[in-house]
Amino acid sequence: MTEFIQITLDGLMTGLIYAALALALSVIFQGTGMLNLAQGEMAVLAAYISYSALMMGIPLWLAIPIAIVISAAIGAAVYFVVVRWVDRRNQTALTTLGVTLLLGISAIVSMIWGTDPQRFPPLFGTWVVGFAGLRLTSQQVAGAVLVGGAMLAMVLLFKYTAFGLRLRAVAQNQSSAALLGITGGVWLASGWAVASGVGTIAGVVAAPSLGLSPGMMTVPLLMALAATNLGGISSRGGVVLGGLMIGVLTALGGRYVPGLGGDLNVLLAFVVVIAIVMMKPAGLFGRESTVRA
Amino acid sequence: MTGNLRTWIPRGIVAVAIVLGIAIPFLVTDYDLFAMSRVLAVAICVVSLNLLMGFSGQISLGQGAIFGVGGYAAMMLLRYAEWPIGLAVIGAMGVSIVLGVIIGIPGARLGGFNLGLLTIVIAALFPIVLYRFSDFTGGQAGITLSGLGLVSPTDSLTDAQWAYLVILLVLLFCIGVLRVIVSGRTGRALAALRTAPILASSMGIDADRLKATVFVLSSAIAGLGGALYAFVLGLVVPESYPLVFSITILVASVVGGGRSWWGAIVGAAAIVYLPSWLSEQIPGDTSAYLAQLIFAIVLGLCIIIAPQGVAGLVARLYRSLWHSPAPQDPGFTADQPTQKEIQ
Amino acid sequence: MMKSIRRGSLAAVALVGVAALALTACSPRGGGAAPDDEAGEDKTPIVVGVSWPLSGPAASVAPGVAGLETYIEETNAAGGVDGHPVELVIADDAYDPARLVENQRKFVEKDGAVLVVNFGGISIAGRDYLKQKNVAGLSLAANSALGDIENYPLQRAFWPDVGWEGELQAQWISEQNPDAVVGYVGFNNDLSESQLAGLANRGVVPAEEALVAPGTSDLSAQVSQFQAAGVDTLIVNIGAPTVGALLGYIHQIGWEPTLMLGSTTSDFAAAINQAGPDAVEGAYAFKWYMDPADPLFAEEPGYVAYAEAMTEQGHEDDIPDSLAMNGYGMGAAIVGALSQAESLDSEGFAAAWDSLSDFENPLTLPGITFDSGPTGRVLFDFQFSRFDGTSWQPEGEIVDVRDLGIVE
Repeated sequence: MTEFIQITLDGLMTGLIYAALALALSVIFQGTGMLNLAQGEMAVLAAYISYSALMMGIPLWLAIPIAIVISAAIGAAVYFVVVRWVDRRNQTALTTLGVTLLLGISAIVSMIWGTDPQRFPPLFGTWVVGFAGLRLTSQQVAGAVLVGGAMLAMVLLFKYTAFGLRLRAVAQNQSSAALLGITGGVWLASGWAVASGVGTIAGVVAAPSLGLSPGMMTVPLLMALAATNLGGISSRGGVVLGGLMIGVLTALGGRYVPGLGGDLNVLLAFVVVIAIVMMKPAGLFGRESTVRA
Repeated sequence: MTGNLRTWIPRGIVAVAIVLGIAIPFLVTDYDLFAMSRVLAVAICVVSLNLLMGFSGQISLGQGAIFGVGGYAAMMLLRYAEWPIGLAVIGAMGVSIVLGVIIGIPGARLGGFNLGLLTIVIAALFPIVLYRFSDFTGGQAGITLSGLGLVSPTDSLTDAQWAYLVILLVLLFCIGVLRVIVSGRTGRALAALRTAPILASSMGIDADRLKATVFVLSSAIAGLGGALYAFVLGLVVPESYPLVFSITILVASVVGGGRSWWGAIVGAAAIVYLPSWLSEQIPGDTSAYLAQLIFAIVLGLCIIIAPQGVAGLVARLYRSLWHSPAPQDPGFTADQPTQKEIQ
Repeated sequence: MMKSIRRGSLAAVALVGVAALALTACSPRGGGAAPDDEAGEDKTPIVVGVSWPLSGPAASVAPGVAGLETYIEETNAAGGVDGHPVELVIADDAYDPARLVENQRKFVEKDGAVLVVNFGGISIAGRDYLKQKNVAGLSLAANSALGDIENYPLQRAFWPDVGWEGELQAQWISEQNPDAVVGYVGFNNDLSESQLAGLANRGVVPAEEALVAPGTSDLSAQVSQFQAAGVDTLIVNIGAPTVGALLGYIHQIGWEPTLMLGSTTSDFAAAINQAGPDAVEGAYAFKWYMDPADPLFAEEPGYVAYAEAMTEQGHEDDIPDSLAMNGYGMGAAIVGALSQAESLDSEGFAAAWDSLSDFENPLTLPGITFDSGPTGRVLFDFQFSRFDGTSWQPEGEIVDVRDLGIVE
C-alpha cells in the first residue's frame, strides 16, 4: 500500500511539469487560438538560458527570473514576428506553424549548446525527505514549490489584476474588446509572454530530473497535450488538474498494468483521456462553445 | 476566346506535367529515380492527408503511422504469408482501412483537438509498439526483402524505372479518383461541412458519418502509399516512422496546399529533398542543425506568405493575371473574428 | 468545379517548376555513371562513404565522425595508404533508414566507394543493397544481427556483441552471489534482447526488467518496482540521459544495489558526469576501450596521440567524448586493414580485416588489441573494472570471450 501511495506521489510530482506546460498551452490557445506545439521547445530554450546563467556564476534565485524575463520577451517576439501574420481561424496553418517553430527552436538550441545531455544542477540541492514511510526528493519538492508558485501567480494575475482582466477579455471576445479600445496585438503578445514565463518554470523544474537536452520536453509536451484534452483547453484550472492526473495515471499504469512497462506506460493515461472525452468532448472543465450558424 | 484560353492553359500544363512525369525514367539515372519514387510514395500519403484535412477539415498528426502500418502489413504479407505483390498491397490497404475505422469513427464524433490528440498519440506509440511485438515485426531489424520489391517484368525497363512508373500511375489514379469524388455531391457536402458545419447539419448532412467515411478512405490511401514506399525501400524498420515523420507529412500538406493534389507532390518533394540537400550545401560541424533551421524558416515563411500553400500562391498569381476575384471558401471555419477586426 | 480544376491545375505550374529544379540536380542516363573503382596502378584515392546520424534522435553519436575524420586526415598527411589518399565522403542520415539507403546508393553509384561505414542499428537496412553491389560495409555499434557474415560476406562489425557481455556479467554474478535477485534496465530494442539472451545462457534471468525508450529519464516507478521485488543486483545497459538520471536517482534515495554497467554506457560523458561520481562509485563494468575523459589514461600514448590529432584537426571540444575516441579507433582499424589489403577494393578490405591479428591501436585498454574473429568483429577481450570515484580501475585479468566458449 505504501508503494502505491509512493508511486502516486511520484506521478503527481511528474505531473506538475505536464501541468505547467499545459497551463502555458491553455493561455496561448485562449489568447491567440493556436495550439502551440512548440511550447515544449520554448521551455527547453528557457531552461538552457537559465543553465547558461548558472554556468556564468549567477545564483539560482536570480538566474530563474532572468530566464523568465528573457523567455517572455522571446515569446512576445515570436508572436509579433511569426504568429501574428497567420489568420487565427486557419487551424491547420497555425498547427503547422507550431511545428516549424518546434523544428527551428530545436535547431537553434542544438547549434548553440550541442545535443549532449547536460547536467542541470538540482534546484534545491540533493536530499530526500521522508515521512510516513514515503519519500520526496529535493527535485520533487522544488517542482512543487516552483510550479505551485507559478500557478498561484497565474490565478492572482488573471483574477485580480487589470492586466489579467484585459488578457481574459481579449481572449474571450475579440470584437467587443476591440470596441473597448484594447489593442488586440499588444495584449495577445502579452499572453504569449506570460505563457512563455510559465513554460520557463516547467523547463527549469524538468531539467534536473530529465537531463538538459534539446529533446527533453518531447514526452512532456505530448502529456501536456493530453492534459489539455482531458481538462478542457479553455479552462486553466482544468488543464492543470489534467496534467496532474496524467502524471499519476502514467506512473500507476507503468507499475501495475502488466505488459505496459516503461515505454507504453502512457497508454493507461491516454485510454482514460479518450474515455473521458468520449463522454465530455470538451474535457472535464472545458466549455462547449456556442456558435451561431 | 480569352475564356477558353484561361481554362485551356492550365489543362495544357497538366498534360505537359504528366507527360514529363512519365518521360523522366528514361531521362535520369536509376539512382535519381530511387529518390523520386520515394517522393511519389510520400506524395500518396500527403494526398491522403489533403483529403482528410483539406477537404473534411479533420486535423491528423498521425498519417505517417497509418502509412507505416500499410508498409508493415504489406511486408508481412509478402514475406511471411508469401502473397504476390499485388495482393499484398491490397491486403495492406485492407489493414489500413480497419485501422481507419477504429480511429475514424470515434474520431469523427470527438472532434478537432481530440482527434488531433488521438492521432498524435498513435504516431508516438507506433514505433514503440513495433519494438514490443518484435516477434511479428522483426523488432529493430524490421522486415527486409532479399531482392527488390517492385521487380520489372520486362527487360526494356529496369527495376527502378518500373517501380517509379508503377508508383506514378498509382498516384495519378488516386488523384483522379479523388478529384471525381470531391467534385460531386460528396464534394459539395464536404465543402459545406468545412465552412459552415452547423448549416450543413441542418441541411441533413450526417457530419459524423461523412467525416468517418473520409477518414477511412484517407487511411486506405495512406496505407497504399506505405506499401509502395516499403517496396521501393525494400524494408520496413521502426526508425522509418517516428512521430516526426507524421508531423512532416502535415507540413508537406500545408506547404503544398491543403486542397491541391499537385501541391501534395510539391510538399512531398520539399520534405524529402530539402533536408538532405541543405545539409549537403552547408559545410561545417553544425551544418546539420543549420540545415534544419533553414528548413524550418523556409517552411515558416511558406506558411506565413502562403497559408493556402504553394498551390494557393500560384492560383492567386494566376488569378491576378486574369484579374478574376478570389473564391469565397477560405478553407477553414470562420467562427471567430479576424486579426484585423481586433486591431 | 471549374474553379477547383483551375486552381489544382495551376499548382501544376509549381510542380513543373520544382521538377525542372530537381532535374537540374539529377544526372542524365547513360553518362556520368559510377567512376572506375579500380584503385590499383595510379595513386587514385580510396573512397570510403560514411553515413552517420549527425542530427535527429541519435545525434549524440555525431562526434564519432569527428574522430574517424581525424584519424583519416592524420593518415593522409603521412602519405595515405601506400601512397593512396583515403577520401571520406560523409553524409548525415539522421538515423533514418531511408536516408541511409539513399546515402549508400550515392556512395556506391556516384562516388565509387569501396567501403561504406555506418553507425549501426539501422545499418541493417543497407545490407542487402551493399550485398547486391558487392561493396564492403562496416558498422560501429553493430548489434548481433550485423554479425551475420555468412549471409552478408562483405559486412563487418566493430564493437563487440552485447550478448557476450551479458554472458560475462552472468558468469560474474553467479560466482559472486548465486542467490542474487537481478534487475535489468535496457533499451526497448534488440540490444536488450541480445544481452538478456546472453545472461540467460549463463543462467541469469532477471526478476524484473525495465525496457524503456531512448530518452526516457523518469524511472522512479521502475525503481520502486525493483525495490519491491527485492532486487539487490542491477544491470544497466542504457545510454544518456537515462543512465545518468537513473544512477543519480538511485543514489539520492539511498538505495545501494550492486551495479553492473555496460561497456559502452559507463563512460564519463554518458553516465558519470550526469549522475555525479558519488552515484557511480563502487559500480562494476566489463570495459575494453579507454575513456578519453578518464584521468587514468591521460598519459597513455594512445590517448595522447588521439588528443593531439583531434586538436590539430579543430575538434578539441569532442576530445572527452568516447564516441569520438571510438571513431578514431575505428579509423585505425580501417587504415590498418587497408594497409594489409592485397587489393584496394571491397574484397581486399574484407579479407584484410579478417586477418588483423594482435593489432596495436590507440583506442583499446592496455593489453587489448584488434584481433579478428568470428562474426566479422575484431574485439573479443574485456577487462573487468570497478569505478573508485575517480577512474575505472581494472580488476583481475583480461578475459577473451573466445577462450570462454562464448563465441565459437
